[in-house]
Amino acid sequence: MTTTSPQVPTIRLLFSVLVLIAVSLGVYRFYAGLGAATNLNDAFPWGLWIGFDMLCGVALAAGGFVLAGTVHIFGLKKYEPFVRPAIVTALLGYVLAIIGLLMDLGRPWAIWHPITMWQPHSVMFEVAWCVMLYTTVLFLEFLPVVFERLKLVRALRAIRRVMIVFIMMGIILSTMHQSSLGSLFVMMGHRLHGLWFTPMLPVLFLISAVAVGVAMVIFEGLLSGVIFGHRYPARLLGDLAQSLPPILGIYLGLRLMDLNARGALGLLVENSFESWAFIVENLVGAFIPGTLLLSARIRYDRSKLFWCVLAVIAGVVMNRLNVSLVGMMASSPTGYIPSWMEVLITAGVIAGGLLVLSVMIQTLPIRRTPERA
Amino acid sequence: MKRLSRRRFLTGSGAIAGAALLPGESRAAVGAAPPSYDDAIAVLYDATRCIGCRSCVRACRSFNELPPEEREIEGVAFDVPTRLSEDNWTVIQLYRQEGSDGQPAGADPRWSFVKKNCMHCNVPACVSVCPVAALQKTDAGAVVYYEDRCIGCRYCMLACPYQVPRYQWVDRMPRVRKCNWNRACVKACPVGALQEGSRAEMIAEAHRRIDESPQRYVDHVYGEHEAGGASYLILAGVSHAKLGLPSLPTRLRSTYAEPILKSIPGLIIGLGLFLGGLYRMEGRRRAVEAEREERAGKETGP
Ligand code: SF4
Ligand code: SF4
Ligand code: SF4
Repeated sequence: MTTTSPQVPTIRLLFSVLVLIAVSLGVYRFYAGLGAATNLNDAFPWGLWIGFDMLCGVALAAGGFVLAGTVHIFGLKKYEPFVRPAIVTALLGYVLAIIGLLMDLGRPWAIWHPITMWQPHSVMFEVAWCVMLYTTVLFLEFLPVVFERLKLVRALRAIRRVMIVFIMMGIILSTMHQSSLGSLFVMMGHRLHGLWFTPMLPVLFLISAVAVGVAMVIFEGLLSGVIFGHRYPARLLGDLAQSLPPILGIYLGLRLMDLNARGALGLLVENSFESWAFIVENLVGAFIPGTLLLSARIRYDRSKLFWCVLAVIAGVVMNRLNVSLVGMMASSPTGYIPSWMEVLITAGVIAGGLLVLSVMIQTLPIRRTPERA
Repeated sequence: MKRLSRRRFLTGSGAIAGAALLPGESRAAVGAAPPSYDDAIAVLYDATRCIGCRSCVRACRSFNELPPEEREIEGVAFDVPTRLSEDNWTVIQLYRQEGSDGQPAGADPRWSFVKKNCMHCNVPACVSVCPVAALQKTDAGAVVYYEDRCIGCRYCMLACPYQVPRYQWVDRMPRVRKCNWNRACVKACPVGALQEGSRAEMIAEAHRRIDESPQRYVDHVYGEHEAGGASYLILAGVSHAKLGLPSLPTRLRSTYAEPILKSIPGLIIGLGLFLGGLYRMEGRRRAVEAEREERAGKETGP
């Protein structure tokens, strides 16, 4: 039962146009410089490409390590059908984050420097290594899909034997990378608004990444059911969603404890743009979906589940944008709104990712559980 | 090498959370005391002596070959840098309280010049965050930039508590720009508002001036302790906050990230052991299950 929705070719065409626009704008960005293409300035050095492409791209890719761990380490084999899509999504997420990074770096041709020029006191150094290593690991985790397609039986058997090592490395690297993106902002107490600035940022980033990883897998499962016609049983999706309320609960609890410990609870009611951004982020993105998903009636209903996981995803996206952009506004005399070129390049990068994903779903054995060797 | 204690590993993030809540004085709890750079070269800027002639700014321009920031006033072009930028590595700014004109500094401290540039911190945040060591602190006290190493991530700009590093935004091969401690400005000053010497000497000199004429100065040597101390020291007759200099804790900012980074080896080992253990336990369960299935198969088989 794999009937592809009739709109697919049209959407693909639209996405291709977006990619083409982004490519030409990308050329302009390298020709004319960052300042010409973006609204970044000395008072606001990081913008949409770091806040969205990098922070959100990596967070939304968390499904890869969460599912691989759940199935292969914790042994919950019934979720096996989700592993491959999750790893493919993660690989794409990372490639997109790297493209965003190449756009954003002032000297992208020097991107390899952290390999030889070490400065291990820098969180950014850790981030750079995690990106490199984890993208490699993701690629290795993805290889069996290709081998299976090409019927390379011997290679397939060989890689299966060492796969568990890659999976463990992937989990360790992801834990480091997700949290280190939060640690980046631990140095910015003088810039970041008190609602978001906390030395706990690495822990919060990690927990919210786990939550959004699960949410993304469910979201994708539901969506690809509609678009490509291979549906996952609602039972399985709902069971997976059961993990969300406790994760979100711990997350919210930690945030409140942290606000309280820093004496920052008062900031919640200061009725500023920041306080409302914080409230919406946590209410819509964590509290409401976390509570709703406690109910089995909602969990096992495809469309209700869809809205809940969408809220979780939106919540994490809001969180990353709040930390990197909204929370930085007050301390910057100029403020920042992304330029249309920044927005279109980001849109093109996302469209490119979805395009590749849709082609991969149709041509590679991603939706199939791997045959037992 | 410092040993990673078990407690540190287990409470890595808790320790940081706790550290952030401590008052500024207890920095020893977080990391070692900052290096003093007593013998490194420091510059003492005395705002009460400064006449705002901007000779220092011009000297900086010609030494580093930086273009002027021109503005036309009644048809005549002037170099009027107002704030730090990719081409302004040092600027003279004027603070004036409402309703005060023309009184000399010292007599009535309601106005003051201030010379802004990189502070050349003892433990610079910019250096500690740079992933490729494109910014380095030399033994002489200078914080210098190596463009061949830089990848252009601009983390230094966000981490500097004084918001000093600037960027060449409209450039195909952009660089981070900031004062590189050539001190051309010191030699250019006609009235001795800028003075250089060893850091210990300059700090002693600053305190001597405060002690000699306490009515002339605010009793604070800016840069002596701020964020671990700096090689650029500022004396003024107006509170430093009014001059736009941030009031910073003595505690080093870089120490926030340090415990997090130090917990990483422990995290890798701990998590590796944990996952490995889980996997083995899981494997044993699987083996038992398979065996049971096999036996069941035999019993019901032919
Ligand atoms: S003032 Fe800023 S740029 Fe200068 S050394 Fe200190 S942290 Fe670095
Ligand atoms: S922009 Fe260059 S100097 Fe600044 S932190 Fe990044 S690599 Fe280092
Ligand atoms: S040269 Fe000396 S007096 Fe003139 S502006 Fe600079 S510091 Fe002040």
